[in-house]
Amino acid sequence: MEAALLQEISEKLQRGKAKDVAALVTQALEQNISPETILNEGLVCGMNVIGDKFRQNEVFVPEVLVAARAMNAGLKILKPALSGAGIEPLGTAVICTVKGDMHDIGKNLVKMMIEGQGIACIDLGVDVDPQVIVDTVRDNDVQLVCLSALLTTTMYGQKEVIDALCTAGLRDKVRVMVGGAPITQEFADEIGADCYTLDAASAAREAKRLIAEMRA
Amino acid sequence: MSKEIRIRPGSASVGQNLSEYLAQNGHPQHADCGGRGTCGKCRVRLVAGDFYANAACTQLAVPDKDGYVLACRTWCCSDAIIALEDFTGDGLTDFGKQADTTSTDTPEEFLGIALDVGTTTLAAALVDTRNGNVPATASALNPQASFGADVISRIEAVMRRPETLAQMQGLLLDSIREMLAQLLGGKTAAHMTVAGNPTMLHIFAGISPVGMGAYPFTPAFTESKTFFGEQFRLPVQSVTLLPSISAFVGGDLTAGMLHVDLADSEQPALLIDVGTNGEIILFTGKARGSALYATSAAAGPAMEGAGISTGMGGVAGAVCAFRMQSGRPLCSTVGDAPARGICGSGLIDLIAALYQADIIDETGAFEDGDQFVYATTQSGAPLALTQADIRAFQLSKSAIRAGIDALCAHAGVLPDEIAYVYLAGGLGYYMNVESAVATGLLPEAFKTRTQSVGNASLGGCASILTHPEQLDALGRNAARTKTLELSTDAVWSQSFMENMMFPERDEI
Ligand code: B12
Repeated sequence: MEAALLQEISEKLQRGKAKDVAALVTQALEQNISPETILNEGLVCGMNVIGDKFRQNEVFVPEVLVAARAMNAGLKILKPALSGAGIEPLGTAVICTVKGDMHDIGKNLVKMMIEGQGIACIDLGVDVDPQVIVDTVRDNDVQLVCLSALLTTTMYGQKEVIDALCTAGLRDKVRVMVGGAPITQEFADEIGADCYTLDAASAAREAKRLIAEMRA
Repeated sequence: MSKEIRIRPGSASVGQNLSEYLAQNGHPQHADCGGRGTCGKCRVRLVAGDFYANAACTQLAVPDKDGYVLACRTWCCSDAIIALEDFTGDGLTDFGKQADTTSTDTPEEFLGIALDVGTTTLAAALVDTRNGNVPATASALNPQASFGADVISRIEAVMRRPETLAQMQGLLLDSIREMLAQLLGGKTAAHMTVAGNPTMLHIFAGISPVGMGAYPFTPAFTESKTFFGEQFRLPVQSVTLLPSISAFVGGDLTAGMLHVDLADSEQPALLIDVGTNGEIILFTGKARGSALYATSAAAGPAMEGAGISTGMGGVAGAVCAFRMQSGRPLCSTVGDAPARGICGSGLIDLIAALYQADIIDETGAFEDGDQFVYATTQSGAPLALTQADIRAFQLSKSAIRAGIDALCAHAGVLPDEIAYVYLAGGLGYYMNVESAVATGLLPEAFKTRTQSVGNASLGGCASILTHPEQLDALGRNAARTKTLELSTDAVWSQSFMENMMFPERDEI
């Protein structure tokens, strides 16, 4: 019974049925399924499936976006129950697109997938000055900084952020993950980033790992 | 199709990057990724000799199983021989004017040169300024290709190394001199008009384009500029650059506007260059306020074959048209040569046909499997369109379609109300409009009112040579055109998401 319901949540989420997901989450809570189980085996599970399909090109951007919308609909209902049960986010990530760059579709996908892992995200938006990131890292309990850049002219902005974190003495407080179409592993190594991934699903997985590392 | 090149690095260029070496020695290679080793378009075959695999010259390069290396990831070592294959197309010189060979003895004072500086190709026309006759045309590849395929990569090259500006300008002027020698045969023309995107115009003039490299994308100039030809060591008395509209809508589009008399239309009219930068200009029509709107929907080069696994320019062997006949693929290739890959017009046909035949669904996913073999090469190797290729195409076509939708919304014009749609540029010239509509690249309403106008940029340049008085009006129109910024535009975002999918299939 329980497994079937969780399975259905995951499937509806994958198909982007926001209303159904919300109704099923409510139903699951009424059946006293633990909020944590609903989160992990329903919502996160569905989001992971979509993320992997996206990575393998089986589904595309619009499908991921509607799935994420469905996940948010479910999360909204689940949140009070989660905090009631004392379940905290795994950690907090800051995410943005670097200075000079307004592309945000990839960044938004990464953010949704990371949130889908139960990690809180502070989204600073696009065209973000390194100082703003430094301030956010200083003033919040953050473990991870995620930087997106889509232009070959703005990718060096990722290095500026890393440099600014170093200068502010905050480099050891966080892990830095970089991505975006022009970024390569080689580039990430060159600028001293901790992690690079090609796509959003892998980004979410790595985010979980990096945050666990920082909290250990 | 493939030519052997002898590499003689000499002591000076041992350790020089092979892409750079080839560019300096007259064989620029494509570098869609700007030399980061990711696009695979600068593959060259090693025939003899050695190369290094790193700039530090500590490791020898090991070719792949077919004998290829990436030129951008390879450094000169000793004398060697490599084989280069030609994968790029010629510049389009057609703008609806037949070459008229009767006027060969035009006096120098009436000789004009129209020049279109494209990011990939250059096209020029000799013009008799008394009557607009075009005795000859010429084209060449833009020799800056090795600095990156798109304008942003070229700008980045200048950001990283300022001396690149002079280098790229020098290469460009060399090519232009060669074309002029061919067209003028030693004579000096009175006047030359030049159109191109703003980055190309900046580089032509030797003015730094770096302001256009990042937000807020500020060009150093947009107005028309006139120089003495000798300043560039060109055999022309004077050179005029056409006005631009913004950092990404340039003189090539304003020239096109002139070529199709866009701003003279009673009804709404649209000019669009279906290419990497997806520039679009909408005129609301004299009957509806005569307003001008422009934008650039950065589609990326996928529709021109770059970034597609078997993509290539429109040269011999490129599949340029495709349809399914009784369930079997039917290809036409450029020059009827054996198939080697696919170019933009073929790609649009292919994807439209796969969708019509239910081989891919409306989300762009293959119904079965994860690729489609559309042709085989002479040696029997399959040429396949992959799922990733379709995804790249979906992003590109949707960016342009959303650009059209956003522009229409801001101008208060429905796509249905646009009476004339002009497709400028190479892809617009060769592509099948019905296929473009079937993929959702163009709105359904455009099917019956679209015309290809060829190299409208060159056409506009030629027009100004015979009617120099048009330049002022063009400058005024360029200056009053409203530029739409898409990155924060809600209509664009919505349409971009919707149009990544394919529209309802045609009943057939
Ligand atoms: C959509 C788009 C736009 C939209 C942006 C809308 C928006 N709100 O984001 C609009 C039309 C506004 C736009 C404008 C411009 N664009 Co644009 N754009 C594109 C386009 C078509 C798709 C990009 C995209 O969204 N992809 C889909 C997402 C999902 O993929 P993604 O961003 O790569 O993200 C994935 C991964 O990279 C990764 N990832 C992303 N971020 C991160 C971060 C981390 C931490 C990690 C781990 C992973 C990760 O995960 C994501 C999901 O898997 C590309 C061309 C193309 N076909 O790719 C050009 C492209 C990126 N744009 C380009 C250019 C030049 C521009 C402009 C500067 C110029 C112009 N001609 O207008 C302007 C200026 C924009 C600005 N003000 O900054 C160029 C860049 C060229 C270059 N050499 O750098 C491209 C490649 C097109 C081209 N060749 O001309 N663009």
